[in-house]
Parts: sequence; C-alpha cells; structure tokens
Amino acid sequence: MDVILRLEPIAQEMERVREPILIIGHQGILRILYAYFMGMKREDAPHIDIPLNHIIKLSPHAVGSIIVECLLT
Amino acid sequence: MYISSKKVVHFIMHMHTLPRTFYFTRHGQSEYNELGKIGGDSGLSVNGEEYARRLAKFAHDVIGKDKFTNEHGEEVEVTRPARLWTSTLRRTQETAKFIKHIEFEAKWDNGDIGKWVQFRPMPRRNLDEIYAGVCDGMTYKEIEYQYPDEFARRQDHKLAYRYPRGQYTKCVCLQGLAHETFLRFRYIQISR
Repeated sequence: MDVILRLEPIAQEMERVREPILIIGHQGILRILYAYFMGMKREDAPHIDIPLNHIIKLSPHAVGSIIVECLLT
Repeated sequence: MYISSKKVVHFIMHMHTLPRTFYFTRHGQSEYNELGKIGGDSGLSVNGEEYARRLAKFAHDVIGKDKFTNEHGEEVEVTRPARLWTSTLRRTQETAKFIKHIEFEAKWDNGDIGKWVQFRPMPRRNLDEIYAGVCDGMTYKEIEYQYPDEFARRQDHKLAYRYPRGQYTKCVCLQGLAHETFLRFRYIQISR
C-alpha cells in the first residue's frame, strides 16, 4: 500500500488525540509526519534529517514549536 | 477531488484547538544500522540499547510529567496521561522496552477523572518503515553496484521513487477542512 495513504489514519488520529504522544518510528515515516505537521512542501520531506539518538518535540499550534534534544552522543 | 460529506462531518466533529505535543524519535541504532544495511527487521545494537534506556527516563521524567506552580507558589510535579506508539518492527518495539506501563488515576484538563495506563504499548503496522523491495537488507554501496540505474534514479527523484517491488512515498488523497488543519491536509493531497 502507498505510504502516505497508510499514514492518513495516523495523521487524523494525531489531530484528534489530546495527550502527548511519543512516537518511536523510522526515518522515512517520521519525515513525512514531520513535513505534514510543519506545513512543509511535500517535495522537501525526503531531505529532512531525522538523526538517531534525538528527540524532536513538535507543537503544531505553537510558534517556534520544534525542540530537538540529543539523548546520546 | 471528491470528499464525502460523511468524512467532512467526522473530521469537524473531532477537531479541537487545544495545544498538542508530539515527540518523534527514531528507534535506537539497530544491528542493520551498524552494518550500513537498509530495511530488514533486526534488533538493537549495544548503542541502541543504551538509547532505549535513556529514552525511557526521558519519557517518564519529561513527557509523562506536568510541572507547574500552585497557588502557594510551590513547584508541583504531577503525572499526566501520555501515549506511546511504535511500529510493528523489532527495532522500535525494543526501543520502547524500558518504558513502564503503570496504571493510575488520571485527571484531564476538562476535569474528567479515570483510569489510564501510562504509555500503553501500541505497535502500529501503518508506522512500519517504507519497504525497500528487492534492495531490503542491502547496503547503499551494494545497491549502487548491483542496481546502478535504480541508485541514480533514487538520487534524482527520492519522493516519487520506489525500489523495485518496494513502496512509493508519493501519491495521496488526504483532505480536510478549516484553517491550518485544512492546509495540512491539502499538503498531502495528490498532484498527479
């Protein structure tokens, strides 16, 4: 099945849920979700760098909403 | 593009503008990562295990905690309900393995009180990594050597590219309504 198509229910659920969600995922998938919630162009999604050992905190409704923390160097 | 009215109603009913927070992380380093191979379903490397431990601490101390100052000016820390999603692949589930799933009496912002299992494990197939088809388990060097044309095509068109018998990233039909949510849904809309 197409990747973005199978992410549709995930994105919808993320829009709906009220509690903070920790998503432990994969680079290819997180890039798409990241681009989607940050309102980035789809074409740029494959070039987003999601490094290992980092946490990305995202608050789609707040300004300056990305915080990246490194837990292991 | 056609949007069913049922879908629109469902969407609007479930919209809310409360601030939400998502924490994204990749799985800890896997055995395949260590070898430079793509895809597969390997477990964690020693490094990956260490990351899993630190992530569990972060989850309990930061994501699952709400810190505020009460009316007496004291710093208070309470456990707040939080969710955990992984894919169904070993490397993400193993990254979550040190996170505890404790049941507690949770209180929501709207005053609701109820039992809640903190970070209840939720492996989701929809979050599985993009399948690399015949290249699954190969290093990029091996792909370049064995499939030089495919390698070059992927470099040129990462979004529309799919490995032979793998999955596409492109091509979609997500649509929604209303302000920024609308824009976000439009973004994923197909442009064929």
